[in-house]
Amino acid sequence: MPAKFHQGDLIFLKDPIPLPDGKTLDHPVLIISSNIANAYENSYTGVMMTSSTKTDKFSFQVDDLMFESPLDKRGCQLRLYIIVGFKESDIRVFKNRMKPPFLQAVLKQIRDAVFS
Amino acid sequence: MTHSMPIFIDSFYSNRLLSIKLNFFTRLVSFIQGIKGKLKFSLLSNILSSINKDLGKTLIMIEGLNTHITKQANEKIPEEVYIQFMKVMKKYRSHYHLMEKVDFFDLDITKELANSILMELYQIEFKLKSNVFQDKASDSSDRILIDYASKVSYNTALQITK
Repeated sequence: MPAKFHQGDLIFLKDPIPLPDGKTLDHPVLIISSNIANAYENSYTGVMMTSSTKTDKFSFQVDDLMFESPLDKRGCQLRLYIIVGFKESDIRVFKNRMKPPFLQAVLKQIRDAVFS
Repeated sequence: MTHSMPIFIDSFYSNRLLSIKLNFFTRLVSFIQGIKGKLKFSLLSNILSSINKDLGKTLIMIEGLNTHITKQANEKIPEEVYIQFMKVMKKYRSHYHLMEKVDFFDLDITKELANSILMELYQIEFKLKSNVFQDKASDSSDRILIDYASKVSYNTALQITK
């Protein structure tokens, strides 16, 4: 059965992130696994997005022009080494979709930064 | 040539007309679509060939810059160079967006050139940040994300192996 979500989709997971002050925070995740892999047991691999302003070798700055619709926040980045595995049932909502050339750049940088 | 010179890192510096051309031509092309006959063909082919020539020149310059950065891999590059380069990237992304809005003038060659420039720029960006930030420690705010990603991944693994 084909997967409901696709490579390049920006989604929110059901469980928000618990913060030290007791509050919770939704963090978007960009699906990086291929559509063939996504269809297998409907499981996905994603990379975490954050609004942290720190720049280092694992930052990938993102902006509105890289997505099909504007992002809710400015100054976001993907943390290339923080990779998460999840199932379709863990996904709360689809938010946006990254355009293919930018997705290719993200995938290449993950390969070079994390798996080289 | 030193790394601290902003011009060195700005591949569009010697091709400053590209911005003007893209801004003007992407609007003009929509207008020309309404014109009929030989004039339309002649206007369009001149404009598009000029844009493709400029994109080709830009690609060659960026490939040269990429090779240069690769050769300098053992030298420490100042953070200022990365900051300047991110401005170049931003400028090109807005150019790219303009071309995207007119579907790269329906030309495969324009799309191919525009995408090749984009990929080269991201390769350079990766090399620069790997060099500039090689000694930086991880961000403490990452800890929360790492713990979260580990928890979700662990639960997923448990569900799959059940």
